[in-house]
Amino acid sequence: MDTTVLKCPGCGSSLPYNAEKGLWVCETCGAEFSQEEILKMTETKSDADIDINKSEYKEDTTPDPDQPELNLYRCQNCGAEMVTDENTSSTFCVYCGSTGILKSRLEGKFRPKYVIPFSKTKQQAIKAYNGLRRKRFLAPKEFGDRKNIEKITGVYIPFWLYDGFSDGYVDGERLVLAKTWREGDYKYTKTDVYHEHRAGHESFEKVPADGSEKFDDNLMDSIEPFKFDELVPFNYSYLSGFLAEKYDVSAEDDEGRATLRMNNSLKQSLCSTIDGTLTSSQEDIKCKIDNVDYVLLPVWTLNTFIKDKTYTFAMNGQTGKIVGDIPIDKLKSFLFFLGMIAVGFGIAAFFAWLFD
Amino acid sequence: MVKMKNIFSIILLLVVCLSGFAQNDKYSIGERTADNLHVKKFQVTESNIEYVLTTPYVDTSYKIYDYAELLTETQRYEIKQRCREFMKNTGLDIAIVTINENPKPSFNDYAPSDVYIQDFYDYNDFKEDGVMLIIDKFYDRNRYYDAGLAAEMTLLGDRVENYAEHMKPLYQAGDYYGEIMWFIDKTEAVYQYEISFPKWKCLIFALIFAWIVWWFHRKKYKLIFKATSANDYKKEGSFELTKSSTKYVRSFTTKTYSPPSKSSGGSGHGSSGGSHSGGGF
Repeated sequence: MDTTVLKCPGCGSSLPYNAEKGLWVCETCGAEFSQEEILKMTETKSDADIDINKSEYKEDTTPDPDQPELNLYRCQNCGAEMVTDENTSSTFCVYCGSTGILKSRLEGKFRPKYVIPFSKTKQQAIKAYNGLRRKRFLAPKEFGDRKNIEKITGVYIPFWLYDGFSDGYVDGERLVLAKTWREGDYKYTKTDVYHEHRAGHESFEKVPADGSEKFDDNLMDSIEPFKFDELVPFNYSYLSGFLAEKYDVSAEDDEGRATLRMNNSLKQSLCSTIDGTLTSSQEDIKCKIDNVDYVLLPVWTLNTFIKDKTYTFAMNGQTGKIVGDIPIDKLKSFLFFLGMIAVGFGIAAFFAWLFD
Repeated sequence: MVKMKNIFSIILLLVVCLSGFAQNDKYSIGERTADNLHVKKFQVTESNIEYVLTTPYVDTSYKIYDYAELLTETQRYEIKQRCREFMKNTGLDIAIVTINENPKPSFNDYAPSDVYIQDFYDYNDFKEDGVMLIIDKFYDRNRYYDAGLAAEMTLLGDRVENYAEHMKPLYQAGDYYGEIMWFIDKTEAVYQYEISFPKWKCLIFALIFAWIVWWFHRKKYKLIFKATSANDYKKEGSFELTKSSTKYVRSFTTKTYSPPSKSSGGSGHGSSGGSHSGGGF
């Protein structure tokens, strides 16, 4: 199994990608390398020679049916052993911090076509996470555990991007209040019923669906949108300094999520041409997928363990949008409710006094 | 001699009639005419001018207007004194009226007493906040009215059945004095209760307020949502409507029981918006 480590050609230290500068910056000597320089180096020289050192390591294949499938690699920088699961394609050495890129997991059908490089740094991710906490004072104390926050990790998550074309129609009845009148003790309302039919089609580009079982689909949906005009052709060097996953949900298996979204959008577009809302409707909308691209998208993730429950937070590594369901401390919540009762009582008493 | 007796009888009859008329009209302080309607609180328009003209213009200091002569002079005096006490204790105005003839014979309203009670209060110079009771011997029933603050407090509105339950036996027994006194006592007690004990209302408001704030704040803790549309990924200008049709299918009519509001007599012709009338028995 191959691993590669991006190293500084000057001093041999790790050369991670710096999201803030958009450059590769040596952690030891501070040398900076642009995308062009990195690409030039990787084009002109073999991975093993200078920049991306390549070594062969034997995989520990001792089977254990009770354990998840883990693979053992040796860090070619310091010699320590690295353990990854079957879907990790870029990881860190826990001893020297070097990035180990498992090239074999990024080749062939697993080679992404595009990648969006990280634009948000770890410090920005921590700041965003702390921002979540500041506005939500009912969160438990553990939510702000500094040691845990430091574990926030940049991960390239595999996504499928679908280009598609939805076509179909919406049928339904629309009610229009015609007139009302009164006769004695009764009120009469006349309602007109109209049959509405709308047919049409619409195209969509790069509708994302994450291709990883490990990450919750709704969590990944929530960090959208990504700015896909910043997609660049994939290069291993972008993974330096970050974790990366390879897909374990195929494009065919994920297609349903994307087509459902496209069809819903077409339905909304069709319904927006109707003056009013349909009380009952039926539709027949079909979606044809024209193209699918496999890409890696940047996400900062953090798992927080509070009272035996794991809460996962994710931040879009490109736009900075942070999401996650924040736990609520029951005692704080109860005290807050009591406090609001006191405030409400005060307001009511003030107005009672004012209008007395 | 016989002739003299007849003349004397006629004169006596005229005196009696006039004195009777004068008795019934002793509360009046003037005639309403189209030129001088004596209305201060409300704007008079074409729609309500007839209501104004058919409403007596009275001296509001009397408080008890016993047109039906159901009370003795002493009772009227005591009621008047009690009314003044009521006004002092509550700050509300009060009017008690008894009638024994159709107060609005020229109108075909379904409830002349309801119309009359509002007109009587609103088109005379009673204070904006007040209550009124009418004992209607013509239709054999009672009517209540509350205006302004009293209406806002629903001083009578929600308690009509309770009032009727206690006042009807007194009415049926002909104890109009007792009935009126009970009305004043009860209304004063209710007012005192409402004013002195707004705490439970404040508490209900506080609970609702707390729940709304808590609920909205809690919503801020859920940030994960399933994506259901692809609106962010539409290809610009790609939406094309290939067919669009709207066809009339049918009409249907629904009928709901909705009797006119009991206070429609007043509000329909421009009297106080902040008032309740009706109820009684």
